[in-house]
Amino acid sequence: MLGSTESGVTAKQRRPFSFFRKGARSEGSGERPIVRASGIYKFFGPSRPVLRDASLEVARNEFVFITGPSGAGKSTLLSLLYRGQQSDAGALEVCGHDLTQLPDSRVWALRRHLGLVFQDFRLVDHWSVAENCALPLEILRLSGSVIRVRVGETLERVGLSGVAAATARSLSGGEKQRLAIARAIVHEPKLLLADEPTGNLDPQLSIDILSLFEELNREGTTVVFATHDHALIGKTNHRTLALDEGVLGPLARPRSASVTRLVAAS
Amino acid sequence: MRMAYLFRRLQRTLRAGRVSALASIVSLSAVMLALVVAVLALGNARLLPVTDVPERLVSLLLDPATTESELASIELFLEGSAAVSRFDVLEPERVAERIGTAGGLSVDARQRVAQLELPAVVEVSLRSGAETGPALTTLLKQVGRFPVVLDTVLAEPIQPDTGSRGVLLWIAGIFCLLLLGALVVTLGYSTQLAYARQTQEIALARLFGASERFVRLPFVVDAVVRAVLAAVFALALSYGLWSVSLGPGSARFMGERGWSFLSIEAVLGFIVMASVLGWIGAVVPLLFSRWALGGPRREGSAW
Repeated sequence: MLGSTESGVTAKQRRPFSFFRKGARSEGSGERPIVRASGIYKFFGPSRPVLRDASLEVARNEFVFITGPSGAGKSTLLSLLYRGQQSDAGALEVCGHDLTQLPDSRVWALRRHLGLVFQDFRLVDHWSVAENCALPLEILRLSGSVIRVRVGETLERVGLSGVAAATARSLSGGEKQRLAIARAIVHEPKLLLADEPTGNLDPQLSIDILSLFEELNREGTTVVFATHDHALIGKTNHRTLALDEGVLGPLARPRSASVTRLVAAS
Repeated sequence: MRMAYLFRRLQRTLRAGRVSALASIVSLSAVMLALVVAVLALGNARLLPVTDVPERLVSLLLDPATTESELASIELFLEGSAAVSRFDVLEPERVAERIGTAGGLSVDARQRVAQLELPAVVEVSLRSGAETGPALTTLLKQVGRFPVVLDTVLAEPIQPDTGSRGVLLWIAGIFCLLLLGALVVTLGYSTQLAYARQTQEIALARLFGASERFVRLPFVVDAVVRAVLAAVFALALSYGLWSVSLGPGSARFMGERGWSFLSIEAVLGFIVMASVLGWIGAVVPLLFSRWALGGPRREGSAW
């Protein structure tokens, strides 16, 4: 399906990325980190710091886990990255945009580089699967034929091509999350931000979803994956950052069982 | 913006609130119908009977080469006209006599006589009363067909707005303004309703990079389309109303002549006005809705 074409639609028309990013600023060198944050502070009230001096760099094509207990500030950190909220102090640059200087009227230019996946899916229940998936492409004002081809490809990729005409409310939890992922990747974003995407799913579905993210990452999409599920993190070797009481740092990975036995024996 | 996309968004807006869209078009049509009737009243008030015009109204300035037989045919016409109470043909000597006398030719007519060196002037007195205004119009048209009549000069200008008619004009004007305000409020309310119904979709669109223009444009187009549709319905209804009760067919109720309907320019102007009102009615509430219902920083509030 990925290589399929529809009559009258050229390959350039199907992926007119320069047009996709119309209005977005140049990102400069490909070697620059896609996310660069330093000394970030975020307060919810004068005595409630959620993030304290958080610093983070995410290289292009990297897969980074952000973990921490509920309420640690994972969602807030991701929200700062897509400019759902603004930091109270610190420097933050995402996809070449300096978010401390970015005016509200230009937030759209940043978000066209991003794909967002949430724990609660954030689908429009009364829209069809295809309509939900097509939203980012409609925002990019692509033609109907291009949208149909791209949506068809993406739904097939996440295993939802058979239910394209069904309404989103008729899907199961796992299918809804697949649809949310399809919507997040349909416009081929540079950075995929996933906020507890497996939070509502059973362990097997969570692994499936994680596999999907890893596949996207192998194809060149940078992924920032926030989760509190250490079992899920333990299944991969990706860099993991932990948030604890607003402080962001590398996670000390638990030793495997065999290593623990060796230490105990010695 | 691509029309296909706009059409899809409009379809979704309509699908989200079919009943309220219909209701808003009906209510807008009703308000616009009232507006059309008020405009008709305003326009036709100018033609309302003029009761207080002076009896001597007009002087016909004749060509110096007018022959006796031509003058006779004019006299014959004036005698046959129901609107004319009496007329008087002034020979050149009498014109000269009456210049400068009180109650004679008006200053304007005297100046015209002096300039043209006319041999004769016909002073025409119209019947005073309810039909004097329209009768004068008809008379001037008819007299204009005589090749020997060079000009007609009113002895006294007709006062366009006098007494109760002026009050009627004011009332109709204020009513029109109130109806315009009601239209904007109705359009604004229906736009805000449509916006509130799609809060989630809008917040989602913002999350995926929709600009403010992307968010607002379908609502503006929707409001303009509603307003124009309502204007067309209102014009069609008012034309029907006019045909049945106010137009020429209603002679037995309204005398010789009923109200005239709006000109084609006025109809087109009305439709343009409706589209402008639709634009205002959509843009104003959307400006206020942006932060009330989820701006760039508050998209999460929709969930």
